[in-house]
Amino acid sequence: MQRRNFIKLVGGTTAGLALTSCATRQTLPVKDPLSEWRAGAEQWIPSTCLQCPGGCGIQARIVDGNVIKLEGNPLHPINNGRLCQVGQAGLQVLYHPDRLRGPMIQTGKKGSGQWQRLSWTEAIKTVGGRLREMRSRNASHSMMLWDGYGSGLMSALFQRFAEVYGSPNYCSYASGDGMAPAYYAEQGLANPVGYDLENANYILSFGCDLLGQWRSPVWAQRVYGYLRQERPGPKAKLVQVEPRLSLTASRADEWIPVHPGAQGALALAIAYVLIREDLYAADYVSQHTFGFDDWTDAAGRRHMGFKSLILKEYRPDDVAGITGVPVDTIIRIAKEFAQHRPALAIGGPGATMFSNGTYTAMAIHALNALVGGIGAPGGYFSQREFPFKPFSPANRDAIAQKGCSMPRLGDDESHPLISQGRPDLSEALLTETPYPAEVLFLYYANPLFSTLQPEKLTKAFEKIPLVVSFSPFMDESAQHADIILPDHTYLERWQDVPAAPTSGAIVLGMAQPVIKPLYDTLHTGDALMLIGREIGGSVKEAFPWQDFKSLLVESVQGVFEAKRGSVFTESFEAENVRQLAKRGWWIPTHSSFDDFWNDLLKKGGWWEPQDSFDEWGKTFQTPSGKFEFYSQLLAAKLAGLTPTVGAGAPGRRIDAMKPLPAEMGGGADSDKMVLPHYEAPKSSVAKDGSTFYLNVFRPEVLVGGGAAIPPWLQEIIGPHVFMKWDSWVEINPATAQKLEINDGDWIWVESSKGRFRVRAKPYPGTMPNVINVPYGLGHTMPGEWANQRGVNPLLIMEGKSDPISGMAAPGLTPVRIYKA
Amino acid sequence: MYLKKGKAALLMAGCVGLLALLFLAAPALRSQSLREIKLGNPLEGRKVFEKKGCGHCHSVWGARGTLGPNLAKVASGKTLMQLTGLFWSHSPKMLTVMQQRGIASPSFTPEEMSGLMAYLQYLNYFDEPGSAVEGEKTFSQKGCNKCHSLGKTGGTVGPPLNKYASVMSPVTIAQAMWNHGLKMSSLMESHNVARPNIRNREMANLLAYIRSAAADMKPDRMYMAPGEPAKGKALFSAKGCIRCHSIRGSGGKVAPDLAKGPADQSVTEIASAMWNHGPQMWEKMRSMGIAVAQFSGNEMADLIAYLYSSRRADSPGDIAKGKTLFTTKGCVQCHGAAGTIGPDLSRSAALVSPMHLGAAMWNHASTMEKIVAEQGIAWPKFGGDEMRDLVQYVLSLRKSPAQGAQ
Repeated sequence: MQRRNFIKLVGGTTAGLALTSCATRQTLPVKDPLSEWRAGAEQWIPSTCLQCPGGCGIQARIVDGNVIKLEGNPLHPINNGRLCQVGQAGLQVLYHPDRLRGPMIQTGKKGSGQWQRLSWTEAIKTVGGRLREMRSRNASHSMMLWDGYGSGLMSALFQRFAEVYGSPNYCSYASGDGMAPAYYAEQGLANPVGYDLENANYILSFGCDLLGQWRSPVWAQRVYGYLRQERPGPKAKLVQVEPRLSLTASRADEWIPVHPGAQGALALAIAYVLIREDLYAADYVSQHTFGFDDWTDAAGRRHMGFKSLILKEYRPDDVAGITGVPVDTIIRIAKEFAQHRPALAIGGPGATMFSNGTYTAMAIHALNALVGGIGAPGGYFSQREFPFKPFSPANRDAIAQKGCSMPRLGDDESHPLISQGRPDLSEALLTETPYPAEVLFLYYANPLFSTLQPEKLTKAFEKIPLVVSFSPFMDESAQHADIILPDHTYLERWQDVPAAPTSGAIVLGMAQPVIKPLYDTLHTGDALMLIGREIGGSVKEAFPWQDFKSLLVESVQGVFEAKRGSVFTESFEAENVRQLAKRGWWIPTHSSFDDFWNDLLKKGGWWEPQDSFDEWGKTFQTPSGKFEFYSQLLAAKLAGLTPTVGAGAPGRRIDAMKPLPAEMGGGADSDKMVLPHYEAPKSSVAKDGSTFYLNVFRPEVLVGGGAAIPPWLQEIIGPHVFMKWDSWVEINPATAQKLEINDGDWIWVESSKGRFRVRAKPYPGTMPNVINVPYGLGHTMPGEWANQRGVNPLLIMEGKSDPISGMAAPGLTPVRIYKA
Repeated sequence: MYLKKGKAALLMAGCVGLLALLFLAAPALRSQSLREIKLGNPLEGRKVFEKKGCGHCHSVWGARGTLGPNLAKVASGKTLMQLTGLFWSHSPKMLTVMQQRGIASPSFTPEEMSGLMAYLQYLNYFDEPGSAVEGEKTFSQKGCNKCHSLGKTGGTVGPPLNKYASVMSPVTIAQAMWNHGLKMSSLMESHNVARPNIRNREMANLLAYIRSAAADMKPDRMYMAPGEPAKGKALFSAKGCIRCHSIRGSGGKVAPDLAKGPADQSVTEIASAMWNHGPQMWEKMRSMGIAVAQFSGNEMADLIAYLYSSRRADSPGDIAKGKTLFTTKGCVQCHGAAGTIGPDLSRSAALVSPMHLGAAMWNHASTMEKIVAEQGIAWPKFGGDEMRDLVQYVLSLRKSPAQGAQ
């Protein structure tokens, strides 16, 4: 049959059928469903992701006013157009059914769940009135601001609020990798440092889940791809040292399983090989370090240097037993590390979350000094500040001055480097030491979930007369608040987003509303200013801005006036900016601030390249102006002296510290106490039959740590063990076989503190004496997506801490496991 | 001459297309002499470099492709027409590689060509970053530490140098040295310190060392904006330089013509030369009753940008030499009065400016390459100032509109 005839036949048949149909049914006007269809009005708005500290640039696709997709911003120097699964899931945070609809007040006692909506005017009046009343009786110091975001203008605003109100209790609780105490003790730096991964030839990572968790996973993965494929010349080698086969370990050239808490010993044994075999950068060590050799102080006292300590105590033969790493491997890794410079040793929570965390961090960082990597290409950068226009000076009245001069809540003087740590405040708040807290503000902080001592902290919350949470969700801490002033989600608000330090470049992303707020929420910056105005007097005067956006515009003016860096731009232009900056030049690009601001919003942010190395005055802010193996800053703290350089982190005060308790292994005059060394991590009391150590890790999809875990992420929470929407316990397959535990069996994990039930997952990336349980699940909050999904392993871990930094040290809890 | 039908048609189509392009290219303007070449905007030129895919093969400052040479090096010390000549001479090789790699041959408007050439010239205005290690040696060899303190050590005669740690451009240091030069010289004399000459990359190295060793780093970083030759030209008069120095014969005759200095010197090297000649100049100025000029802000960068561009400016071409080249290089075979293959250049709309001509030449290079290959003619290459002379000659061929209509 010819095609034409076939069409005729089919057309005729169809017409016949249609006529038949008309004859037998009532005729209804047929409407073409597509007749009213129209293409939606599409718009792409650049903004910045706030799902994790990485600060990737995003572009939101808006159709008819609704955000329907998030993509990466190709101009953003951190992610270059990529966006991870967590960033993609931002849509489900915006449209989350459990978002709080407006301000609420708890009418019953804390945790009762009896909430009542109130207007913003009432809410601000209630909070502001209380704060005003406290100032009237000189109790302003008992207000506490708990900032879990910890960077940018929001943190600056919180600090200003604390200063003008009159409280020393601004606490920045942004997540860290546990290396900060080492950067302070050995380099005198209060800010985090960046790594020049792109130029490194050898990366030795001690428990730093670089590709999965560290600061900006998208950046790290992009750079890792560059190191392995695109980079001309030799490719870099990555060696991952940690008890569990993390995402990074699985992508590394080599995974070295090590006993939990023993990474510091391994680093020191590597140092032993470098020194013993003369493989260290001798010129660098002699020019830029202090305390390598034995030395004599001004009083004529002889002090032990790093070299003597290492050669005396850290022979690989001795360390192999501590770490579980064979001697041959230690020697081989040490030689590779020394011979493939630039080499980088990096640390992370997998190594530092133990009671010996500070010394472990110092040991790891000492390796960088031994290979001359600090302040050199392929090594470490000290991070520069953003050139924001400073706020106009605030007038602090007598109440504020008196309040700020009070001691801080929870500054436990037994921890010499507490300003670099993030101490658990449960004890201080509960025991009201040195005074009770009367008002507590929580900003992106959910301490009732993340603390090792939830019972204590819950009781402490009950004692605080007014707890205010800014959370957009009813997380565990918000449930125990009195008032919730819900913030917009990041897709609905203005915010500066300084990207977490990565490559030494400084990157300022701009978050702008891509959609009008869905609910009756309020920008926390605006809420804080309104509270300030409600308090009145000098507090009111300290907030002259109309809203947070006005403050942002004013601050960014400083960036424009700094005549540095560039609005995000395509790669060739960015390379020009970088190359010119290296040579000392900068090309003006915008004729006015308005022009700059508009371009900033259009491109997504501003950036300044890392342009130079070897700026020693900035790299080493120690008393010696050098890298200090022998930390004089720590020694000063131990001896109760206030150091003359190296001020603490913003908002923190450095006090004279008492010597460490004798049980720490030495008094203030012990040289070893200020040198990187290994101490066995403290472990809680083992219950009978406890033969495993419980190792907690955060799955990659929970990198931001938010409580609102959306379905897209729940679906991919543990792909390597085929788990979703639930927790699991990873067991070494041989161990599982011995214990007759099969894949998917329900088992109990029990410590001296309690137990939980999870499914067993034999996983080859587990050491025989360790079990791994993910952290981040097991929320107890209203709603369907996160409530009671999985377990929170912190609930059975002992509340240990690092005595030097005061950091919580959940790392070594003995447990037993048995079938449920 | 016999051409196969298909090829002849292709050639005709190519020529017609090219002619159309040339005639449509620009409004009829007065023929521009080489003296009047307006330097294109280098900032636009770098966009052209990227947009046209030059970076697929070529690198600039080590970034981008490695197949072709580093264009920053190629452009070092070259005038605009020398660069254009190089560009033309290498075009067959470039076209072949592009064809092999499937890269489309880009075409340029005169503005784009002008910007691109200006960008390549401008790359060598900037020095390579200095070396702190070398700077440290220079610092002590030159005796800077005898008077100045840096970090926590050094002399106390001069001001401490830590404050310069936020300075990013060596020209800022050079400017400060110039401004304090007289005072420094007399202090050096009274302290028996030999006045050091600063050469090559030493100024950049010194700054790198100052940044490296400074004890109290300021958080700010102070960059300089690349100088603007036009502003520099005005400063050259305003600051009185013109009273002694000339540029291409225009100006004072007491001191050397500054356009005749080494063409491969960077901005910092020129600044260093100023420092080195300081005492001589000051002495002369004193005798002539001229005050030593002080520079502030971006002024020294502007002034040096003017000197830099003057040294790379083309001198007027030689029409007679150009005419000879037109014959000896074989242009005449296709474009001459007897030639029938190429268009009659005297009627070309590209005879507006050297850059119009340069762009038109590049744009028809691929067509011409095929014809040249078929004809067995060697690709004409232009070295030295040959392109300048040729262009001067070709521009002189332009007929007035009245002549063109005849």
